[in-house]
Amino acid sequence: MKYVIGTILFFITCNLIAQNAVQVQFSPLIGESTVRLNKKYITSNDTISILKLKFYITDFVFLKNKKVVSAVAKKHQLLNIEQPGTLKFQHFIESEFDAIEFKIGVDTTTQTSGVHGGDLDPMLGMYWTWQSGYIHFKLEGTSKRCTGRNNRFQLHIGGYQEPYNTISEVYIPIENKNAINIAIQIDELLEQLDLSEIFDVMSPGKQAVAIAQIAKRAFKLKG
Amino acid sequence: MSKNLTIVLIALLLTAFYKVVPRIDYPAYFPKPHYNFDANMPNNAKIELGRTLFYDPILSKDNTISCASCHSPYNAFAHTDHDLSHGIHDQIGNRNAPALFNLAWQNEFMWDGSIKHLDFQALAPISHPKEMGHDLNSLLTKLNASIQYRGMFFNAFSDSTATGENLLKALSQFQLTLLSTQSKYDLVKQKRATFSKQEQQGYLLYQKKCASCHAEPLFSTYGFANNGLPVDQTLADFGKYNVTKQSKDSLLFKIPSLRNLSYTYPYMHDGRFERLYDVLEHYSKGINVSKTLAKQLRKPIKLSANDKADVLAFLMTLNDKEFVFNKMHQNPIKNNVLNKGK
Repeated sequence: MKYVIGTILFFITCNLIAQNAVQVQFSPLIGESTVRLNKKYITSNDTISILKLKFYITDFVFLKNKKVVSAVAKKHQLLNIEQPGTLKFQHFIESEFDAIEFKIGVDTTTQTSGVHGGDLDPMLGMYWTWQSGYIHFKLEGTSKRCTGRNNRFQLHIGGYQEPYNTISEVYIPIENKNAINIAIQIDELLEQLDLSEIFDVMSPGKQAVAIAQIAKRAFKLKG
Repeated sequence: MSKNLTIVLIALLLTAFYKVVPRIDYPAYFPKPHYNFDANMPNNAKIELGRTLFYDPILSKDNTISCASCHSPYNAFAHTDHDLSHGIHDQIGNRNAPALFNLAWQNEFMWDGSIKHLDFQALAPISHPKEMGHDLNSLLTKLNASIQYRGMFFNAFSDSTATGENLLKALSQFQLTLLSTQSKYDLVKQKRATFSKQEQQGYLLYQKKCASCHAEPLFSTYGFANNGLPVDQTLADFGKYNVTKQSKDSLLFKIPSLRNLSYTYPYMHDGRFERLYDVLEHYSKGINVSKTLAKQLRKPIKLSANDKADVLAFLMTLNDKEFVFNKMHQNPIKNNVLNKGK
């Protein structure tokens, strides 16, 4: 009898915990379509393809009334479109929340405290070799509008020192639910760039600052 | 009573197995180091791995250039006799490789300050097309294919896989052992020697005319300054400006230490001065005035012939033979995988 009650209690507990698991998914999109690498997409004013999309999400937190109620354990995550498993994660949360917030990029404290491993290991291709700093957001592809070699654009957005600090914060109000889908509208991002002029951004500077602001606005709640 | 004894015995047992950790030893009159050892705990295995890597040309794309190719141990880890250092395929770069010592007290590296932490410095020469011409991932693939290196990584990090993090931490650990703290000046400071009359005169002159940028006991603030060097038009190197793009940083270069000068000629970021005498001449007659010139140099530093001799005599007391000839810093030949004897 003890065992029966024990088992029932166990499953009840499991169900209670399961109700508080939130699935977070980042979805790179062009229009409504999920971005597939190397595929050509025709938009209203362009033909584009995406060759690389890698970026850091740092300090992903859940808020209620603008106060943090829960934080994702993994402080820095490298999301890479080539590895779809990195675009999603699960978080267990007990309290209610009405918004999420996260940074795009690696924070200054981490950047100045020596080499790190895991998602921050320089061997992952997101650390500049000729000067110190992580690439917060890397987007490469082709565009008909682009006047670079082979119509290619390479946007490596980084920099943590003023006045070219390009770490950005995204705040999204959310109704408490179990699945949060954050769209990254790549088409909207590219539309706002003059790719005939700006297509090779490889260091901190004014261009990176401008693009970082445009990139952060591409992150929005899907459906 | 027996319970206490057990605890004591267990404690003794644990300390017996504790890896001998060579902390860096520095004189009491040195400031505290900047490097955060807690994030990269020293141990003998890490240092030995770092030393092996430092001398191994495997770090370069064609396996010909090692760190030691430009940072020679017998020259206080500088590149003597070359104004501009050269890398793979005999390509010549646009800067003189600086001497390496007392790195734990520095937090900005390279002549232009582009590297903000010792751990990341190695990435720059490894990846530069005119230096080692390599890339981190290809290098790691080579290291992971070597049974010897996998063994060394395991001993150092309890993980046989060479990762970017562990490679860089090992290189940092070796370089942090390069301590120059036993020059005659240091012995005088420790009251184990005395300056000659001439050296003492030179010391006083140094304190009056050089110490604001080349502050003791490190003999540099390790800050940045424009010391009035006219721009070499063939190089068009604007120093810190190249990195920050701020006009206030134009022509600012890292202030090097005055230690070990006899071993590290030629001098300045582009090696333009062969002799120390030329450096003193520059400060007395050759300063180029520009907007960002250091305020200490708005008036030339005039020294009589006697003064110059005294200053040079004092500078000689900053040479550290112990450091330069220390076998622990040299090539561990027996460990070398691809040593081409450079």
